[in-house]
Amino acid sequence: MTGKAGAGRRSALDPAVAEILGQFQQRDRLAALSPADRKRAWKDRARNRVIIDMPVNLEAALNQAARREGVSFSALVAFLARHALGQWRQGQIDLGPYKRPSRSMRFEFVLQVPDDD
Amino acid sequence: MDIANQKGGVGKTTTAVTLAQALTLQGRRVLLVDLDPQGHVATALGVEKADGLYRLLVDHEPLPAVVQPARPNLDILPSNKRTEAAKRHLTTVDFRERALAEALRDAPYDLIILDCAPSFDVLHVAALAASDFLIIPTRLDHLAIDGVNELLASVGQMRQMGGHAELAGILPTFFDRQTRETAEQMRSLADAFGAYVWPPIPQDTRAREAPAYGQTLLEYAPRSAAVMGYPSEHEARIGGYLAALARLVDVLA
Repeated sequence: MTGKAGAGRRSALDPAVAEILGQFQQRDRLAALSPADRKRAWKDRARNRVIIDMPVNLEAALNQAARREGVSFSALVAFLARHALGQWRQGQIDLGPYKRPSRSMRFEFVLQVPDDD
Repeated sequence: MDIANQKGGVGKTTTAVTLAQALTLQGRRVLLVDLDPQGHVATALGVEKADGLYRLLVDHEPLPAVVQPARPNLDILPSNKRTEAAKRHLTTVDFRERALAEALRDAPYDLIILDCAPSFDVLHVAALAASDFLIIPTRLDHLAIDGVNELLASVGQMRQMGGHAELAGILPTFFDRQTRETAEQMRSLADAFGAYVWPPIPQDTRAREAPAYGQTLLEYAPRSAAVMGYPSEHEARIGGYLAALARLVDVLA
């Protein structure tokens, strides 16, 4: 140990202490925002944003459907994905006919998105 | 292992008792020495206060005759008001700073934990001289952290005189993450001492209730925030005595 306090400073922080300090920093950042910005920041924090590849014509069709239903594009896609996932789990959707061998090291197949029904 | 802070009410005894018992649950044989005339180590374990420390240091009775079994693998060397007389006696003898180290030499334990009184007196100096490591529990307020600096300055002076106690960790206690003061003091503690700062012990009323039932915190509320830490987004739990135990085991390894 060295120094006036009798203990040398270890430069790195304990990971748990670093996380606590990060939480404090985030809280301070939020506190400095206006009430409206703070609300938006909290909402953004709760969101889970993903980026997916999608054929242009499918995106257009989904946009059109969202407008027709008066809902957001994201909400409609999440809703339909949830339903389709349920159907796939129950064996009502068979991906087999749409699978093509992949040259990628990461995936065994490429899944072809069918054209509009 | 010395557990000390010159400031009172920072959770020294709760820390000493909880860590001591946790180490016994890992299979270690531990002696917990109460250096505080208030005798709260015995109270915390539901055992009668006694003059064990006085009889060891003044009457020179052998250690096995003055310790009390408190839990499996956990013995205590209890204190009571006579510890004040032991302190007065120590001030009159030569090599007083080595008295405790000599009395505990060859004690048949894997670890001896010394729970200090909130003062810097002859017994505290003797405790530092007998210790390899020091844990400093502290509340996250300005006065308590000032106590940390005072104690570390004393440790530094003792090292210049041949002492060898090294800082194991600074343990923030009564951690209330909602208050601005907590955040500021935690930041300054981390800035000053880096990785010596251990994850904190969350404020928890069950830690205060346990002694009233003659139980340790591990017995009374083993799943409390003070033991398990509090939930966090990225890690399963943050802080608590289990995290402190993990840091302590790292230090002892």
